[in-house]
Amino acid sequence: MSSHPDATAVADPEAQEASRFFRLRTALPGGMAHGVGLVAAAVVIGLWWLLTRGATAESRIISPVVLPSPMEVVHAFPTLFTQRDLLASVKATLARVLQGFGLAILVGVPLGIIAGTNGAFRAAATPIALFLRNIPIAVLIPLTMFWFGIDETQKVLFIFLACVPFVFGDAVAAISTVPDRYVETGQTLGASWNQIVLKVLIPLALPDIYNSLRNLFGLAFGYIMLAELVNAKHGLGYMINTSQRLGQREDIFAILFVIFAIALGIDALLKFFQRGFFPYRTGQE
Amino acid sequence: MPRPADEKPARPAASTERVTVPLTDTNEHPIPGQSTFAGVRKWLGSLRGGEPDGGGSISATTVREVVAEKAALPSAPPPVVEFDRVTKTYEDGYTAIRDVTFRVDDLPGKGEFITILGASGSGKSTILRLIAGLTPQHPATTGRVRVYGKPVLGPGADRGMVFQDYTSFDNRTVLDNVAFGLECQGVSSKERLERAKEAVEKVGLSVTRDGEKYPHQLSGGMRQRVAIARSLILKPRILLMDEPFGALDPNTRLNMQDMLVSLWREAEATVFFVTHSIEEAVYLGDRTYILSSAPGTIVQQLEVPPPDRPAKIMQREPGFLEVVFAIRDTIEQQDITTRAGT
Repeated sequence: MSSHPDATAVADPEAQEASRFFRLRTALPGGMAHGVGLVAAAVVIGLWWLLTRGATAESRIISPVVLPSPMEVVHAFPTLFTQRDLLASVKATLARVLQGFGLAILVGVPLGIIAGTNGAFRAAATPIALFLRNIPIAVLIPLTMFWFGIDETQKVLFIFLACVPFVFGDAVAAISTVPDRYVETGQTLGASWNQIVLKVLIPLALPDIYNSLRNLFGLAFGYIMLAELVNAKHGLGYMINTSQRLGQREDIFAILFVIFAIALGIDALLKFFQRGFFPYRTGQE
Repeated sequence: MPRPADEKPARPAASTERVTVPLTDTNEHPIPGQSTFAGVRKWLGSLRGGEPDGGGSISATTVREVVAEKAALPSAPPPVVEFDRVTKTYEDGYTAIRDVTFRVDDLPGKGEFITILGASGSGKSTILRLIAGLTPQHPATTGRVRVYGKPVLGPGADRGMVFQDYTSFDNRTVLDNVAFGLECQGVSSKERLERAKEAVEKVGLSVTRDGEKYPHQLSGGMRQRVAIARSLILKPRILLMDEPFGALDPNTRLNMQDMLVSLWREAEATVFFVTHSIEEAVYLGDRTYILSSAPGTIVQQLEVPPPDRPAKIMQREPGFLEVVFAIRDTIEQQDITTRAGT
């Protein structure tokens, strides 16, 4: 190593500091990572501002019909609150996502655990899950309408059906990736089949299951527009749908930022609980 | 696992030599490197004489006959572990071990310490896992594996196992890891905590300092101490150890060896210890089995001096090293003949 020609350059503290950015598969320290993230976001917003500046539509590089300016989006917020009842929509959407996704967890995780531990059940469930995963998501709109009408039930079950195959698949994967050594250790310590499932496999897979649920929660949010396409009175997806029809582009962007803020908040909350639930895994997250 | 490049016909049956190294004066703590290894020297002499069948060696058939004869005696207790021409061939046709035959007798009040040496792919782990009853090695393709006279049906707490990989349950503290087996037996939480504390102290960990730690906070050596405590708390009659110290640094390794020797004396369990390290095998073992590779078969059983001095001291003695070097030569020779395909 010391014979490497770059050895002296790396020893230079300034060069070492700079090389941090280019090291292979090395995460930046927390503060620096946040800083880089903010800078990147600022650059994108700066570009956005640059491309959409100008008083009239003709003087802009990108027409306001295509992309409203940042300030126009900011100005859209007050009317979203006052005239379009943003809070009621946030509440309605959150309720649907939480119910639909919660139901997907209640059904998908236990079934996934059973499939992950029992070969026969897994063999039976795999083709069904594969079928469900590959259903074009929009098809669920007419189907859920036939089955559950056009009220809240349809919207909740739409999200449930859209998410449950993925929740199931991730739970199966989490159980199956627990190394065999742990199962064998349990066996040589006299654990029964049930005890291995309850005391070894589930506890060791749970952090992975939780982590994948955190990621899938974003997926559930992605489906709200489709879920709220029919007969919704409130909801963020419904608001985007109507804004689209009315041509209010700045409202659409404003709502996207609201969704981003909610997602960020929920993810932070889930991370916080993750640390409490799985203290033994905090070092690895 | 290295597979043989081409399907070779069975090698000419290697004769199972059983060499006994008598120890005349182990209890008197003789001058290191002098008289203790006299018997081993005699064996070395016979080896160097170039007569593979010379000295006290007997053929595999004779061993089998002796085994059969002993088993026929009505009053004799069943052997702790008995392999009778055990072969394991996997579905893809790979044979991990062939015709492995040995028996380990039940010595009252003292279990034997068997070390198993051999190159990678010689089926060392296969033998352990057959005793443990772990799939896919279990069940054997042909031959019989018996533990206390009964065929092995599957894994159980009477045969504890310590793996090279760290297998502490991540979600459990040190004490909860050690108490796992008792928890499975339905022992009350108060009693199992009590016994877990005792076991943790026995393997050289501190209950107050380490008891509530999670595995990710422990070093490799500490994790293996937890694994040993977790097995021994169930008082197994057989302890199977699959290169447990393989990933540890040399110094930790020597300390672990000393700890294991004292635990073994107290536990009175029969230990099967697989290792790559000849020093470790010679130091720890009462007997060492040397396996040839692919397919593995026992080519030699040696009785080696027991570990009656600390590892650091004994493993430095010239007599000890002489045994180590002789075994290394034997294994190398084995390797050469295997590769030459004779």
